Amino acid sequence: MTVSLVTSLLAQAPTPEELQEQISLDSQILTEQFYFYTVVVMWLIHVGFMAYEGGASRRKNVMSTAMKNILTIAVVTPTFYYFGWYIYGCFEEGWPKDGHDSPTVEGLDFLVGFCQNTAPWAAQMGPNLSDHVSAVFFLAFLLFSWTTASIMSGAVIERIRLSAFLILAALLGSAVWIMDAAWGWSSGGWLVTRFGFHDSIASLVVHGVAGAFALGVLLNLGPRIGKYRHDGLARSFRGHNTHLTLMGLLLIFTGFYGFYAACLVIQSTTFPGWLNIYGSPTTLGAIAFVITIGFAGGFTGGWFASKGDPFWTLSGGLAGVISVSAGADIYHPSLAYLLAISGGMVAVWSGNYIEKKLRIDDAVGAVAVHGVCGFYGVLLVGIFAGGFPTGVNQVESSFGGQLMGMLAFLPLAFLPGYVASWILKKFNLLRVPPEVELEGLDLAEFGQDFFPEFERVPEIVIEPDGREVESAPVLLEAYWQTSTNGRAETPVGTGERS
Amino acid sequence: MFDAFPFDDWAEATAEFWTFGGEGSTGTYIMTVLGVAAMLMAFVGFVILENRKLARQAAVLKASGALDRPAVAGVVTTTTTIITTDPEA
Repeated sequence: MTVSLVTSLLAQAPTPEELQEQISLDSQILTEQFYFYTVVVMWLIHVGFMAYEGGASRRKNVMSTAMKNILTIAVVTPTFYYFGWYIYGCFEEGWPKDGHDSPTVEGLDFLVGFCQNTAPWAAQMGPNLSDHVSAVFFLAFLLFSWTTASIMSGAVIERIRLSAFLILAALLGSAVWIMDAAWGWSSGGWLVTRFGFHDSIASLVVHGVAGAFALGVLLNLGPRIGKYRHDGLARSFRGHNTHLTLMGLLLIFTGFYGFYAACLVIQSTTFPGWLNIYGSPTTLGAIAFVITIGFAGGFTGGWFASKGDPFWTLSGGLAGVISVSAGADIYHPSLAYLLAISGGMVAVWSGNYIEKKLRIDDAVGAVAVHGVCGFYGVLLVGIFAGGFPTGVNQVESSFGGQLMGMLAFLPLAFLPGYVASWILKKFNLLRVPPEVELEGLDLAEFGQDFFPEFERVPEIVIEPDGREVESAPVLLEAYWQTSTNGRAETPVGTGERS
Repeated sequence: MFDAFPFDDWAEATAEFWTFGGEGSTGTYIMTVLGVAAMLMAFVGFVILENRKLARQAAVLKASGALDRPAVAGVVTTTTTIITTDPEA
């Protein structure tokens, strides 16, 4: 009896192979859940961008501003599904030299054939009971793509056509940034395997590239009507709800924790622990240290450099984090704190320079905060983390390698933004008609005011000397000076000095 | 022990019924082409529809005279934000 019971129990007990198989499945499912919830948290980035830009816009443009952020999802998602992800899978070596078997980099056997797995008709791109990871990994990258488009979105508010923005968003989110991610933000990227390029949490590959793309667009888009006086000095437009803007920034910061986590790789039965995107070991705690103290440093730097301006103090926090993201897996928190302070200051100074000296109307300082600080962050790794063995072939990071990445990504980002917006401008499809811009985009696009219960008060503009004046006469005067095709008389980027 | 739930059998059965076929099937290719076509048409639609709206509103605003330069140059008397709606919209 006893023998038969023991035999029966033993027969039901799992074999070591079965246990191994089950542990492997559990590990994959945990990975699946991990990436899924990073995506949930990253949605807050887009809620935040919408609130941030909506608050920074004047009342007459609030819904058209928000609609840009919402429809970003409508265009970047399908374009990224149909060709964006394929670009990431196939162009790590610069060109898929082995076709769909690419990438074939020595030491990266697990990546062979990744290219063919990213085509929209591949088994990994649909319901697949044997693959728990590919779909959620794709989704995490999709959220990064939305983010790049949202970064550009804030710079161009209050005068760009919605349709022009959507075309540019698809180009940036589903072609430009993902190409640079293939080159410098993947374990097989040629910048990584040859030059040890290190940008672990995407200072440059997301933020810097989106900022450079936005700069190219802004040069063709031109400033908002009335932004610059004849003598070239900049006026300020007061956003309709600064509180909403600040809350939006805090939501972006919350979403960043999901973004940071999604930049890491974890699967316990395949890898011994957390890896960064290059396959180098790190921990979730290490990057959490850096992001949190990066915000602290950035707020501090932004506050002092702007002399307490609330918008730039919070933007400084974003700039601080971006400045330390490239080395977030390496930096000691104290070093990250110091670097983030400098990043917050760099954002304020460069933002003022772009607005007042270059006379480029970047409505939310995106080029300074994301673009300048994104490039700055990668440069800092070359200075403070040179010698770190990056990636599976452990090429040492260096100032030269980081510079190589910057030189590759600046034209890769800037030129498509400039050329695409130039083409749209030539077809008169880039900017809204000046009459519509003056009246506000919401009435033209949606036929309604989105604060019907509030009395409409005269709009205010702040002159360079700090005086607050009613905007209607100022804007009408500027409108009368615009040509009939909507292009401002004051040349973009130069400003007309009398 | 782990086989108490017939996951493998069921998985095999359901895997044969992905909508219009699995990896690299004709159905999947057709769905991909249709999806890409819808995506491209959406872009064209965004451009055309918005262009119509903007052109109509700009024309209404110009016709209203609210944005015209006053007869005496340099004198601006506008004191309220301009709101003009299209009566036909």
